[in-house]
Amino acid sequence: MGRCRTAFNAYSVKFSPFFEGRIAVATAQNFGIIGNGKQYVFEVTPHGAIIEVAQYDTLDGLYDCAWSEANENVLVASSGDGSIKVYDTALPPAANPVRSFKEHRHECCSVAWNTSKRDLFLSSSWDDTIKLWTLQAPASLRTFAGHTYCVYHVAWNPQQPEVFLSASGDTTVRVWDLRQPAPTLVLPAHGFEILTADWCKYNDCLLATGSVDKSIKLWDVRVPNRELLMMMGHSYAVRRVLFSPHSESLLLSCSYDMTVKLWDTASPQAAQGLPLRSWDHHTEFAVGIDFSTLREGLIASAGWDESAWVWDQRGFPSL
Amino acid sequence: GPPPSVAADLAAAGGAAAQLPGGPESWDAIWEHRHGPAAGPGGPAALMRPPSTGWATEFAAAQAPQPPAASWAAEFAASAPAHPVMETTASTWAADFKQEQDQAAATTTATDQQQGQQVTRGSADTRSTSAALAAVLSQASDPKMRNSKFLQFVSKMSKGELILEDNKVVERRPEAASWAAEFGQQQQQQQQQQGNAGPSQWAAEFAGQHREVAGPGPSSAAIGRGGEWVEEFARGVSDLRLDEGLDAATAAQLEAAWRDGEASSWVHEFNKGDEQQFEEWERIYGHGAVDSLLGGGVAAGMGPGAATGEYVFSEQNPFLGDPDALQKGKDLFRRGILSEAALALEAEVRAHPENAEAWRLLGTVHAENDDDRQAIAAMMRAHAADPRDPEVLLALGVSHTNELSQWEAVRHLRSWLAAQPPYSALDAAAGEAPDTSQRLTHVIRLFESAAALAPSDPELHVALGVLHHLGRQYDAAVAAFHRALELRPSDYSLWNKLGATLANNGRSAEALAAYQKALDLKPNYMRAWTNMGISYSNLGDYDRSAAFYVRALSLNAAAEHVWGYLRTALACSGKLELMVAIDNKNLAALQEALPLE
Repeated sequence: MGRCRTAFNAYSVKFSPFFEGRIAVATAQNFGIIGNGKQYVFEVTPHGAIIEVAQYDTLDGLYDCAWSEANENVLVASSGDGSIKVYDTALPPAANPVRSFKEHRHECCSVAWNTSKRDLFLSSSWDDTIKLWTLQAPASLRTFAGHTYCVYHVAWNPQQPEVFLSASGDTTVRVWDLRQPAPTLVLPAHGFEILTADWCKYNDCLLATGSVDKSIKLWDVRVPNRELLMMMGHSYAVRRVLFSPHSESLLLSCSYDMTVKLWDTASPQAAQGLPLRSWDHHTEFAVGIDFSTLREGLIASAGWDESAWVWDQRGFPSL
Repeated sequence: GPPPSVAADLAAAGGAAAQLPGGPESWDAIWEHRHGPAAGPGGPAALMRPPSTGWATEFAAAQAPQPPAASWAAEFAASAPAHPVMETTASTWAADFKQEQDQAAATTTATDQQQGQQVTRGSADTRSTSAALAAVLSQASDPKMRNSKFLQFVSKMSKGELILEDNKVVERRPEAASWAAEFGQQQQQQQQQQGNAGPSQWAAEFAGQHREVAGPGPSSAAIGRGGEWVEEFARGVSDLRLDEGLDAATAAQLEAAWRDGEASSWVHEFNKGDEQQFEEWERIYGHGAVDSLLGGGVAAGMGPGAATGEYVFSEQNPFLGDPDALQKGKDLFRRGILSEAALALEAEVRAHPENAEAWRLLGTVHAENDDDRQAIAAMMRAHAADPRDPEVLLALGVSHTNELSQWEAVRHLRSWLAAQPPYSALDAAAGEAPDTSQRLTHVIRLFESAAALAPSDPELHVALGVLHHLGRQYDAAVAAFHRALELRPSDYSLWNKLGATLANNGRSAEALAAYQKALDLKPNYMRAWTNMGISYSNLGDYDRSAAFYVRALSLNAAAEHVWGYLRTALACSGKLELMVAIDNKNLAALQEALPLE
């Protein structure tokens, strides 16, 4: 059980796909409203202590970060001025960021790296678009337009590497395909803004959505007219949902109600709004979550209380 | 045969990704690692991962014919971004407000679109939206929300005491007349003039008024997306009913929330001097935060004493009025019937609240029943009766360690040392650490020098082990507990401490051996049963883990956090049919389904 303190409000925490104990934390000053940003890289030792490995300053706040799936030292961070910074922890701080992609015209609030086509990553923005990037090209490969409001979250489909979803304030989730010019599915999943969505890692037809309406819904893309399940457990907007990399039915969520909840979507309790576990350690909005792929059970959360926590959801023994 | 792997799919589609050695496992590999290879007959058919249906291809084929790929890019570049009014069922004020803003922004030379330039956001628009947000947050029933720094921040913004300027916030002195009250009056006047001005109007009109006063210029016009963060969060917390505007009552609430915020931050400032490093632990666990992370459990169901640290008595107690309650309590404890012992002891202390011995034993019972919160509450009563009782002080040190209250744990362990005649001189001589960040190291060194003086004091080594555990020096902690065990090999609680330390150090198999020794000595030691369950989970043996949790719950069915552990273990092992039994707390059914050999 460990906690990293950050100088600014934490927005996103991501486990490295290469190093078991390594996490990246994106932060923004003044709750992300105005001011600078900082990208952190921490190491969680096997003993549970947390050590800062790197810290990069940015002019504008950072809202999300993602590790490269191709290079163990590289990560990207998305910023309030619309830019995406690229960092290489193997290089000295003065050499960082190694790139800055500036195309989005408003806040860039989500980045996601493709786990199969490992040279590709996506960004989504309050400018209503999603962009596809590769580090090998100086400009975006493609811009996906279609949403009519901010796009808060993008996520690649884990089994179909050309497919991704986007969650937007226009109350739809859209499914896109790199091979197609327009979305292959427009899913009006909620009556209010959808802040987050994620694919099930073991059944690629399933996705979960989280909304300002405080609910989390489970959908099958083949039956888009009606949700499979609605989970009302949070008391404020659901900021992020994330399916487990190790289980078909486990889902993590975090909310402006300051809690992080673990759900078993296959259990009858889920429909009653009862999660498996609920953690209350944040004292401000809980806005970022991640599962470790390398160490089953290890999860992390990031909150506006200037902290990122890492812990094992299966419990801790007592002296 | 087995379903095609993702890699095979990709290769077939001609889009094979570069395989990087040491890179992340594919989902297939993770699945196989977790559930075993997808075998044929007799294999775990239920765990077969559904192969990808390739539905995306079907979807694509079903699309209407699209223009060739190249032209959509040109279309996008040519099209102006459209912002239709959101056709949601409840049109919020924020959506309307956004529309007003966008229309305003579209007519200006938008400075926010130039690279690297920061939007000046110190405008009345931001103030009005932040005021509404602050109003909503301050009305929240959750004290964490009312106490949040975000609310304080937003409140100050709404009063104009924080201005957004040049990529930073600037503080301003509080205005003589509160803006909120002023605005409230203004709005009422407007509504009287215009009849029922729609909810979406007030914000724009107020902004319009101030825009005229301030004159045209970038600060008022170039809002664009600048104010949207507030809308986003307003929608996130508003219950979507922000159309009431600000009346006088809400304005007053806003004032109160700001004052409260001020007061609590003063309190934090006051605390900072001495205990800053550990104060955040207290802030987390003292403000009614309901989940003790090490003993972790579901947020619901916490009793009234949880926030204040007071002991919570059981409602039904067959021992009430029994004059032999204390003796019965002791007997029950010796026989290892912990939950009953607790009831008997509760009866005793309710009749004789000054009985420190009973409170102390009650604390011990709760600790063995894996309830550190009640253990602390009971021990504190014993502590009040005798602040120098070493057993109490040591127990408090351990329980606070489990509850992640590092400062409290160190404080009690140090008191323990100071209360022992052989060590009090050492303690006095050691003084305080140069600063709070070194407090733990300082105290550890003190204890080590005491141990050098008295190598055969088992409790000293126990305390040292706990301190090392706090500092995450697990090897040193294990060594200290080993030394203590050499001196006290039959101390079951010591074996459990050793096991927990090994477990926290990732040595789960050794931890199991230590826990087993504890259980050999005390078969009904509920805490050790729970801890074993946790170690089995960590080893991936969820079935056995669940069986151990069931046994622990059979000893103490009130342990809500263990019900949570059991749920997780069953979810991980796929035994969903038993979730109903958990819901009904049907231990008999669970025992039958999850026997221990």
